[in-house]
Amino acid sequence: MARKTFEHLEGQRRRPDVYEEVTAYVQWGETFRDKFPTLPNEGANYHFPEHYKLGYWDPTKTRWKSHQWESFRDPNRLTYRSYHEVQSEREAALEAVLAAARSEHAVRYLDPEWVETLRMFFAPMRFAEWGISMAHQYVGRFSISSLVTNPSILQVFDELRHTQRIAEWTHDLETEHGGFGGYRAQWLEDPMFQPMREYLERVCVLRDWGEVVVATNLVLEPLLQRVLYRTLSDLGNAHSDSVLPHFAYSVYGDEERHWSWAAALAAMLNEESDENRATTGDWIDSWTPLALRSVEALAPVYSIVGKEPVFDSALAEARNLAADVLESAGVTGVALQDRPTVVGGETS
Amino acid sequence: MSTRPSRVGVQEATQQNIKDQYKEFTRDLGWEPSYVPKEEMYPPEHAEGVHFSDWDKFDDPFRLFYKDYVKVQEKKEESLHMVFDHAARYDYLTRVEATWLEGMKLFACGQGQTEYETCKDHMAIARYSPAPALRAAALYQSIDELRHAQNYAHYLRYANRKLPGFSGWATLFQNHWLYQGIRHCFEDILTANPFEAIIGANVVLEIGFTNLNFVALPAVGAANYEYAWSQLQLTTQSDETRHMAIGQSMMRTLLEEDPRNLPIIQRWLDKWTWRLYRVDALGGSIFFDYFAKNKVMSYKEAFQKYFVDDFIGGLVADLGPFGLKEPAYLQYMLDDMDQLSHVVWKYLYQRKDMLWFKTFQPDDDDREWLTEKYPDWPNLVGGFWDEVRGGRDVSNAGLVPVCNLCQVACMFQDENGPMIEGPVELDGRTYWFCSTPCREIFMNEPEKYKGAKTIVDLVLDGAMPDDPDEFLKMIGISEPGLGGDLFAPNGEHTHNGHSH
Repeated sequence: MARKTFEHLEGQRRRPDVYEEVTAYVQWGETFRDKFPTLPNEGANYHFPEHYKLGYWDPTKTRWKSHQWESFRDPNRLTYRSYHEVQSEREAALEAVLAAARSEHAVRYLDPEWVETLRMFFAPMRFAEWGISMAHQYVGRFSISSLVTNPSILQVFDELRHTQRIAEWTHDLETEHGGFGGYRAQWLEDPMFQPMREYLERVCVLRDWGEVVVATNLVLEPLLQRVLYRTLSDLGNAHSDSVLPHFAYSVYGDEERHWSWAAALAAMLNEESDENRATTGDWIDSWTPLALRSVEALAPVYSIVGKEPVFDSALAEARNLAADVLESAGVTGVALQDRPTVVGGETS
Repeated sequence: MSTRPSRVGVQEATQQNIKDQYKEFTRDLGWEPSYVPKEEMYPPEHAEGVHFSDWDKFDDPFRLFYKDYVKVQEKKEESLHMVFDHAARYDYLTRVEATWLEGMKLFACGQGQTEYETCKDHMAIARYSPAPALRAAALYQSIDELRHAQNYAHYLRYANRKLPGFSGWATLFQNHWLYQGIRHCFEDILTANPFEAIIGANVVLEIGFTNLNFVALPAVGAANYEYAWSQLQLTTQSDETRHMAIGQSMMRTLLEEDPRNLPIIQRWLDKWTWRLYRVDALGGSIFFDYFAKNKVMSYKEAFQKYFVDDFIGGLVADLGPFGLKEPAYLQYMLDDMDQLSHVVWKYLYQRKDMLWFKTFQPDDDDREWLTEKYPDWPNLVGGFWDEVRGGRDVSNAGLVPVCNLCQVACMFQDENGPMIEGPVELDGRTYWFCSTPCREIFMNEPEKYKGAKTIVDLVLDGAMPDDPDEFLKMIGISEPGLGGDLFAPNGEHTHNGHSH
């Protein structure tokens, strides 16, 4: 007979909603093993040899182990459709900000100190956004369940959004003020970006998708967002920049989604076993020092406006935020709390 | 510090040439790593075999920007879901032809996963393609495919509220013997290198078979009053026109660049036209010829027009000057055409109690049409359907050899009897094939294919349940009465809660 939901979602306390019905169990393979019978042909797939070209999604692609992958729920409960509703609105809002700024020639009125600050960090950040996107392309490909793939792929797309908006606004800045064209050399050579570049290069060669999720969404993003976009948004307001605060606000909304889904996933897995908790903890411990160096190195951004006090408090708040995010994932970020406050970007 | 540029008009200043801007958003995003080896960040094996001097020369013909994409796609979603909502509100499924609705159970329960596979596949192309423009194009495509996968699930949600047979798709796609060919084929694309995957997915599937599935078939669906699904097919197709352009431009770019690419591309074209034909034609042909109560065109006609004339003809006209030839196995496909849907339909009817959708005997109108479109139909299966009409039990749940490449039962016949190729001995295991193309494709890459077990292998290994009910449960048939004949012996529908 007709049913209230699909067979594979029956038995839940609450009737499954649209999000669950269109994202759960779409990916075949391993996640069925504990709930449904699967063909006993080794890995429930056609078992093309593991070394063969790109390989397959299977449990070996992460150290996390679970018997309940399909129980994971993205707290944002986004589907393709609802994502596009949210993001087309966000993009329209940002577009309106840019249109107003252009029509009023707002870029012309930025003060020189602020322009110099923007020159230091804004344009090269496209690479950081793209690095996170690349890392999540791997997650999108190899994660074991469609419930994980879904937010990861939407994140890949978010990062492309940030990248394109940075590139776009850079052109306005370059046209009006000049000096914004050297972003590639900045990214490759400026000491300010080198720890972050190292971080992202190392993340991009990880072959454990769970570790990628932890390293990007739980460790790096909260620190980076707080130190960079959030604080500079405040400073931008103080310097009458009518674009950057809106851009930062828009990006921040995406980033909050990123760490919330990653934290929910880690929390579920950490709850499930001590092995997972230890694994998550290992990853956090091994990535936190380089993540801290990545944001500490950004201190020179504040050398013209804001100065040390602003940077120091931004860094302290970033650590708190990162610690909160980790706490919501059911783990503690020891390295975040134990390190002494740094001054002026020099690690102590 | 660069010198301050002179003032230019706002439009000019802010709206870069789109082509340049797009290049900046694609090829400019990568960088040469220095903290990790370059070959780890951009593994070179993913360019396997393809000759190319400057990957930057690739171009993405669509040059999409995120902001435009989300705006357009949000509108497309809104109009599709408006159709879905209206259809559900007015309970439109009760007005869809009952025979067609059974076909929807077969189509919709497997389509979403193939879209999802392409989503995962193109995420890897986005990550690993050596050509930056292809990376960007693949990224958008992957997002498109996520859309399609979820929209098929949306369709299933509506149908599942009303009718049986739309509920068990997750298990069916994994385990039912009827879907194993699709799974094997799509897992094969998934594990191919980016260029081979684009030939398979973007060229052969999305250009070659898309017009059959997403233009011709919705017309047949609409003739059978299935408007919501037809709308879904058309809106899916509107994304695929972009994917087609990617495939076409990639093939042309590779062929223009280096003549050594020709044999590689030809081999992939030969392989994927056959592999996808095996999946798509077997499934698709019975929709045109059997599930459609109100028939629009025969599969043979549709295949000739959309696949042979439009796709192959267009491809050879376009790329023939570079030496590309029509697919090596085209004649095998054409040789199939007179028997294809009829053999498949008979095969399914004989196993109708193991299915989650109902099959049925052709009625007098069907027979007349089938004989007109396929003059050999009475000789081929007319006698079989006479016996069914006479009340004979034709069910056959026995094991049939299954092809070790395409996972389809060896059900076809030629003048020498049942078509089967083999045995081929490899590492102490014996392999059989349904056709010459399947044998040749397997033998080109035995390392890739030799490990897979067919569902018959599993039965013979004793790995499947002996108990018939347990067996059915394993393959996803979780309740009685899903399969069988749509019409009772007196000609009335046996469909649950459904009348015309």
